[in-house]
Amino acid sequence: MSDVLLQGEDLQVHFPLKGSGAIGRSGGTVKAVDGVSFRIGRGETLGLVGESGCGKTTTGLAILRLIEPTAGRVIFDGTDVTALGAGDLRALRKRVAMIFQDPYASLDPRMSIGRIIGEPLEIHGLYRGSGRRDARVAELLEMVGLNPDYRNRYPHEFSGGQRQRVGIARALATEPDFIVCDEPIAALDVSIQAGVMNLLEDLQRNLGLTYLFIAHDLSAVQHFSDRVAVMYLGRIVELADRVSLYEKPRHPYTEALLSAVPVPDPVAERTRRRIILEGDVPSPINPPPGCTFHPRCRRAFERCPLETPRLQPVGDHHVACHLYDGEGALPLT
Amino acid sequence: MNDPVLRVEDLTVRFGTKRGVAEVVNGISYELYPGETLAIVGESGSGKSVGVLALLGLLKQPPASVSGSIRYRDRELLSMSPKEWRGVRGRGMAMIFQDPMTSLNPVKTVGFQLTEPMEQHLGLSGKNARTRAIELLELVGIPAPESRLKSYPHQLSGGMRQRVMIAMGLSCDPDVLIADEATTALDVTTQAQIIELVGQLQERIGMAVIWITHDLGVVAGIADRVHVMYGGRFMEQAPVDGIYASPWHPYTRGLLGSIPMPGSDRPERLVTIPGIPPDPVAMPAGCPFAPRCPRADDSDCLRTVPTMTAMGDGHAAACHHPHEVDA
Amino acid sequence: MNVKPVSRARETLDALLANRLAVAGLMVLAVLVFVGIFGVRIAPYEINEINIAERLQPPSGTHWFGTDDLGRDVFSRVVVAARVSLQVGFIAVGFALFLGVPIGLVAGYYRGWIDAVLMRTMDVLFSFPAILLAIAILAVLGPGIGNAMIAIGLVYTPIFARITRGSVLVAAEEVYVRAARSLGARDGRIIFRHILPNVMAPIIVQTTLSLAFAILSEAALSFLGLGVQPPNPAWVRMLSDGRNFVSQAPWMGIFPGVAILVTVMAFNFVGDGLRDALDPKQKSVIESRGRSV
Repeated sequence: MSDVLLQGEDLQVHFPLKGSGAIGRSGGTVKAVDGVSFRIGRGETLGLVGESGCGKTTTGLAILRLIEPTAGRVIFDGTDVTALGAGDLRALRKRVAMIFQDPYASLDPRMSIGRIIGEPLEIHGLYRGSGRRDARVAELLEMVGLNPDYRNRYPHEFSGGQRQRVGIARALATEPDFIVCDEPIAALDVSIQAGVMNLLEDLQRNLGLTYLFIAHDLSAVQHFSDRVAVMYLGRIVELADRVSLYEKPRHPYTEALLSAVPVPDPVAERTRRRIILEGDVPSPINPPPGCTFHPRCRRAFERCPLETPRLQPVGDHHVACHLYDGEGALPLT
Repeated sequence: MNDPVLRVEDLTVRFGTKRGVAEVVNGISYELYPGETLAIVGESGSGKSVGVLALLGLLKQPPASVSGSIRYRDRELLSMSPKEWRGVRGRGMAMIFQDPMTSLNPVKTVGFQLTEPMEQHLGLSGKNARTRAIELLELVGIPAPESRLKSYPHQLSGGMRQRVMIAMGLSCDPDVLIADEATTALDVTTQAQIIELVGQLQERIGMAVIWITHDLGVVAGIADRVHVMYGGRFMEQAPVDGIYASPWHPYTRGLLGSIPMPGSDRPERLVTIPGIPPDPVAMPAGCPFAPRCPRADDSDCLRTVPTMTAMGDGHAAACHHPHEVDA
Repeated sequence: MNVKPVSRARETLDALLANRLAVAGLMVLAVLVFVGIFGVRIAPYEINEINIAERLQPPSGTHWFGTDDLGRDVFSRVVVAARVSLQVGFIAVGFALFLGVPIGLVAGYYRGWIDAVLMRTMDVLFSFPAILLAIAILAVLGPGIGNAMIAIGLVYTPIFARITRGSVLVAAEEVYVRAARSLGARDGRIIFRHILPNVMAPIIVQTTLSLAFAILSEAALSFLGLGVQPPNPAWVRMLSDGRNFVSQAPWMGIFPGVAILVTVMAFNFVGDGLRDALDPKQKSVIESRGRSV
């Protein structure tokens, strides 16, 4: 792995809840992201996976400061993003881009796709001069597999997969180094998802991009990422490379998650051992004390409700679980 | 072999739209046997949801026009009056939908929504209906069912709401449960719970389930038989093992090739199916998949709709050039 | 893929023109605007020329709408009054747009205390009965047609502010706004390039409807002697003057009355047509659920 391009240090995003009074009596905090740390190397893809309420999308937004972190730091290529002023932050946006989940909502319906893709060039004053911007837009459209002649058409004339490609072209306009992909394929049909994933892979290879790939679809994340981080209620509970996460999950939640993912193979499905979790995914408003997973964990013991486990190296994984830490630690199998 | 509890023949649904007639469902036929799980797999635009809405008479005619035959327990449903439909809906056949938040009435308590159909269909008194409602909530695994009767949908989580939907579906002991993308909007761990629940209930009650989904992973785990739908027609149908082990139809192959398989080594690029699904208002003349099919020829495929041809072992495909049966 | 690109504006226009009432309204408005601009030239007679010998003449070849109690040609007066009525409507509503829409944009986008202060001010304005407010404003500014326009404009400002703000609250949460921010767009660009175009629909509709009311409001002010000053003609004053001569010369009141009616209806039809064209209802094809295939 080459040098670190993006680093998150104890990132936190807490939202205060207003109470029922009109003046805003505090009713608690939503701890959407509660101490997340990670490193992404240049050219790498880090997958961020978890279920609803785990904070993965909020993490992605916080990295770009589209939501302000309440604590912690984000360091991009040596610069502390969290401390940047408005002007420098705007300049940073040329190097860090985002692809959004909903291809129907992420494009302004009243702008032609040519203008949508060209907007970042306008904002940053790039490719000035007659025709240069148009040429760049045409180039970007071709890069994502769309016909440049369609630049004057409007989003509603395109299918979901095509719109997502427009979103990708827009993200690439300023030649960013790093792209946060927030569930880029979740809203697409199965046969279209493959095309978009292949496109993202090709672009990474050809342009030397680094990705944070946020998704709830474990199979897609595994196919696409180099390393995978599993989030639960605002914290990373396990972080490992894609192969060993699948083959030897260490955190009980990862185990349960993997066993819940349906596999398109009826024989395997019949014979696999399922771990069915009790209860629902809790809300981040009043997370359980100590290890937030302990009420649903089949391996929980006395220490779990008392102390929040820290993300620690365990073999070649990082795991946040008391089972691997100190007293009562399991031998590594 | 028992008699089928549901027999659909040549079901066709067309809609009148501003742009012309939309051919959404084009002559699908299938049977459903007691206790089995039939999966209908398709992407958006395949007509799979409209196909089952027709089963319950939930399509407004006009603008829809439904033809063909739907026989439930030897009764032809398509010639029933609205009153007769109401007798079947919820009673013989029940349906659960994708988004329980919009399927449940937000201003009525869970208890009301459970007891109302029972009082209507089964003629249960208020007290008996309430008792049964509590039983049902227990059956679907909702903790503290008695106090839940007074809850409103927004007070429950997504998984719980879906369980309430299932309880409602079961309340009048249906023979057939139709689940239309019932777990698509749920987290994967919740989805596993719901799938497990439906399976257990099926065993206990012996009801048949039609599971509509686009998720080939879910299908592998729950289905006995699978029908693959595209452009309003069935492309392939087979017992579940056969579909995955040796798909004959190019569309099925394409679908299976385009999903990332968990756990493999860095795989080849995913298979993509070029193009987009057909516009129901402008359906192509021959096979609906021909414009995108790598095996399509220039004559038969574009001109003639292939018929569903059996190839043995309950496996059939509607294709002029199906893949050979693999070893 | 379509052969030609079809913008939203084009689709809206097509939908509007397919609505026959709206087209009729548009044609009437076109005539009115023409009359408003060229009124003085079209009028065959001097509007204030008193000619007692010709008083109370019924409509004829020389006086198309007859004459009033002072022998003035009713047709000329109606035509010239058109300009005033339309002027009041357009300028007053223009003022309300100019003031109300930016207030709504700022309040809806920034929220917080700015929103609170701005909207509470709007609420105060809005809570006064319109006529009282207009009278109060005119009491400060003095009577006359220009001040009447400002007064009416201020009366309508809260409506535009509210409508704008409501739409902005929704639009500001859209993903494409967040996307624009992720590209580095400044607030100004987001508000004017992304939010404003997407909230135009209800504003446009409200504009046409308010125009109808603005004309009537001018009439109300005229009743109170605060708008157009006599002897200059204004439709509603002509209508009220005609009341005294209903049996002798009904045409004195009928023609200005019809002019008012036709104008207000035209604006209403166009407004309704725009609302439908901009926001087509989706017919549900499913009995109880509006989902697609």
